[in-house]
Amino acid sequence: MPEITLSQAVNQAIAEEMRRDSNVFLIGEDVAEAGTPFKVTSGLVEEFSTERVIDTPISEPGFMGLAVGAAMTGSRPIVDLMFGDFLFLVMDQLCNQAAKIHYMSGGKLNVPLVLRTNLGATRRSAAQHSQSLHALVAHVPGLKVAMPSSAYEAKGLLKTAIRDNNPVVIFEDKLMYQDKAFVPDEEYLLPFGEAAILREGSDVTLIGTSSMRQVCERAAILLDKDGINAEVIDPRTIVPLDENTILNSVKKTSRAIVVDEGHQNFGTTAEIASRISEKAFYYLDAPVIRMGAMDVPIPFSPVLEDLTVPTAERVAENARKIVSGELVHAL
Amino acid sequence: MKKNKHNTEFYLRLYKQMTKIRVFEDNANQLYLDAKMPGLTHMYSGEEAVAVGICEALRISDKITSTHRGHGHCMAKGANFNQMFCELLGKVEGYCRGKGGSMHIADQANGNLGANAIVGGSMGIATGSALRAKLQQSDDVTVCFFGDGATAQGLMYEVMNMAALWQLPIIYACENNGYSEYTTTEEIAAGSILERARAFGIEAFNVDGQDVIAVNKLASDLVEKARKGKGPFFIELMTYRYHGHHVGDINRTYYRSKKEELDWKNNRDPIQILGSFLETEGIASDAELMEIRSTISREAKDAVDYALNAAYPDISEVDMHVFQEV
Amino acid sequence: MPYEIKMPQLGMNQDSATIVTWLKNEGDGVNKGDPVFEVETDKATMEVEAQASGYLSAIQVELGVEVPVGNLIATIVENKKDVLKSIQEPYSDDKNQSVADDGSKIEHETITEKSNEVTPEIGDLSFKIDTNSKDLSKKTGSSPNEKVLASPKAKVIAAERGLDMRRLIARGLKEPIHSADIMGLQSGEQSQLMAVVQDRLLLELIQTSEDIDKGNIFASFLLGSWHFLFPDKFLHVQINKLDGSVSLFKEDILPEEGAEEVLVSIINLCDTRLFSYSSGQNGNVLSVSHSNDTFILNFSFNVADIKLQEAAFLLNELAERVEDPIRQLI
Repeated sequence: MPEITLSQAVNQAIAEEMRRDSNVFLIGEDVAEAGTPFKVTSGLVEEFSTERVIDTPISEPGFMGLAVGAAMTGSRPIVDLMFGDFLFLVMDQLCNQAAKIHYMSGGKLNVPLVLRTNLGATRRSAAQHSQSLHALVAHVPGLKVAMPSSAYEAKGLLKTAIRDNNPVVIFEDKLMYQDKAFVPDEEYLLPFGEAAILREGSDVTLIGTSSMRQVCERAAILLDKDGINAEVIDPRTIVPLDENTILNSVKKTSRAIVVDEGHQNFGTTAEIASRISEKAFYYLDAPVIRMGAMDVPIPFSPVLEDLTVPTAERVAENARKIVSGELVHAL
Repeated sequence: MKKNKHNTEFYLRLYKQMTKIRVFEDNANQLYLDAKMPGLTHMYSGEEAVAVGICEALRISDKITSTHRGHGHCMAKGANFNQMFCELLGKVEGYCRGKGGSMHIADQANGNLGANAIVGGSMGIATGSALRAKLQQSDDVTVCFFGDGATAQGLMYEVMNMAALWQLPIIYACENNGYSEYTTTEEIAAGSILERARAFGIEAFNVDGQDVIAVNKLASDLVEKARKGKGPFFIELMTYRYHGHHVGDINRTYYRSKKEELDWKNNRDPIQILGSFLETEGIASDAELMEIRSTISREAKDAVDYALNAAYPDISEVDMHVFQEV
Repeated sequence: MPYEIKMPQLGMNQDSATIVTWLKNEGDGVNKGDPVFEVETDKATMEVEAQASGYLSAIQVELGVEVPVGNLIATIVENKKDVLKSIQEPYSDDKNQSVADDGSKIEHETITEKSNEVTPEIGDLSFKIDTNSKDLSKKTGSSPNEKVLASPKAKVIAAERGLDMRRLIARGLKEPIHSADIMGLQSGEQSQLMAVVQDRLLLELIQTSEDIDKGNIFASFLLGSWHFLFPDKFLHVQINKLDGSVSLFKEDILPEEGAEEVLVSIINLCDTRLFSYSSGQNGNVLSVSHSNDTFILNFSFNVADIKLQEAAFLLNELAERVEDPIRQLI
């Protein structure tokens, strides 16, 4: 099995799906010749021509709306939104239109589009290019949200997203594009709503989305030295969310920490933690801990920026506390 | 053009379609006044020639997007009374199973991609439909209806820019009825609306929106050109809405004078204008036209009764259709 | 066909309005579009136009009275001869009369009696909060005693084992309690009950035969009590002596498969001056001593084996048998 980068995995997924279905096309800023600033889509225009790999003016609401209309009438567009922060620009077309059209039409119209964008801080890109806004779109009924944590998930989830008849927003961690993982040669799709248990354990469940999965895996290694056995779970998609895997794990370990790069307040960690508290309450031996990005606009200075995201050390520290019966957040 | 001049059937169809819209709106308005209709709706009365003139130039496979003032477009694109009244009343037999209501009414089978409660919200969708037509090498055309108020939305310029860049088969139809909610167009649109389109190199035309024959002539011409890949085009249609912004906007002399309303109603009514034309040309008699009107009124009344007695959706439908499940 | 003028809906969430001025009188000719009356809502005063042409007839409502939306106000008839005067005092021809003030007011009820045909079919269009029924009946939970700080899992374990966490805390267990803190409490806590009974009848019984081991007697009384109270749980009785010897009291029944089995040790202190005994370990020990015409039955038991209430019943039953041995034979 070859090892490929996340960028290559995304590229392969798009190419394979475009070969398979002529209705699929890619649209966004600098997606053709330039292959996007992250070089993820390089080479696609050579194979599929500018008919199907379409460069747009800097008109996010515009091309988002175009994608909605094209999807409603027979195409299957993949929209490339250069930075996740630009979600704010496309919210009307994505959330008032795409998310609701199937419902408002009583099931008669649907919008099979994929919005590919990114998240993740510590790139020294400052507040308007470093946000992880998946909680915003997860909050809107009618949108599915996928969060691949490595090249393997990126390819499998993107292919599923393209074949899904509903609007899907998929977030890639912009700092992981060059990270490699083993990816099968044969075709594979990863289903939505199925979490992966990456490491089994008995003392605490660590749930990490996107690159926080690797943070949790590193924390688990640190905890081994303290004799604490951590179980690591990657939800893969937050809408739909695989509650069962998470709940069964917490029933076993009686403790959970949810780690995510969105802001801690009012975000993904809050949702998952709440569900655990609601549904596995009597199995809990410790409060469920949320660890998100600090609730500040992401600062520019590296010294400050690095403080704002969860790290393996801090995850391990919190795990030690709750295993020993200490409160992480005091009253 | 010339082939339609003596086409009695066609003219009568124009008359019937406009009458259907007028009658529908009158009934919808009454349902509101009788407190039988949930929520609000926005009347198209007075603008019938715009929707009918344009939609009669389209095939079923052509697409339209509509606005919050969308009953006219819906009807003109082939919708029927029963399902429309049912949708307005939130009944399950409505076009959207009662889930969209007046402001989101869509008729997918007839190519109506839907009314939109967001001003200008359909522009991206319409342009996207045209993009899809070009990509799939399909010869259908999309018409985007919007009002003068929507020219204030940034999205319009983004999508017109792309439509012009890529020569998309779309016609932007601006229904200029002189008012943007409770404010006059002069107060919200600087410069010229037509010049906005021309700035992108889009050919733009102005037409009297109350003359259905003129509207249809222009639309037919542009639709055929668009079908051949010569689009996009922009039409500004000068028209007038008789009612207020929405059905509850009854006391409106503070922004619009009765005198002005009466002037349009009495002197520039599109149905009357066509009617006079038909009578003058000997195409139809006054009695025939009255017969058409009363038949349609009866049909509408039957449809209203039908809809009032029709069933609501089962409560289990509340969480259906969030996603399309395979 | 006469056209019925009904009170229109003039705004969202508005369900009634008041007519403040009639702009046309009964009998007047009316053209469609003419304003017929002025209406006041809580927002503004506005004109209502006729939706048909004809003659105004049969005004049903008074000026200045709140009329619900949908109610019949008047009718427009086609012919002047069909004009009906209103059921009330006819209006004077003075167009600018505001309120009927001649004292002959008709009861509000008859005017605004809802005619069924205009009942909105959709029911409550707006979500109305019934502000009258403010008593959201509180769920009366158990009165909060001192709250124990413990994890949900620890509470579940404690409940399963019949552990009283407050007692544990009182005995030194530190809050917050986690499951690890009580997992080690394998068998629950040790409790104690004591009974004092009259010795006369049993002593009489004993004196009738020689060499009777008092320990055996109490053992069989204990067994008798147990079988009587807890037929489904099996009791093993062990006789402990002060010399440290232990022997199992013979039973003629065997426990059923799968039945719960409990062990109680008996130690007889009657012929000594000793009062009571407990081993300090988790377990169930009944020590019997004698003083001043009484037998003292001292029962130290573990709540994991025998709950407090069960122990109380048991000791009580035993005490009754000791005091009146006939019970044992029945």
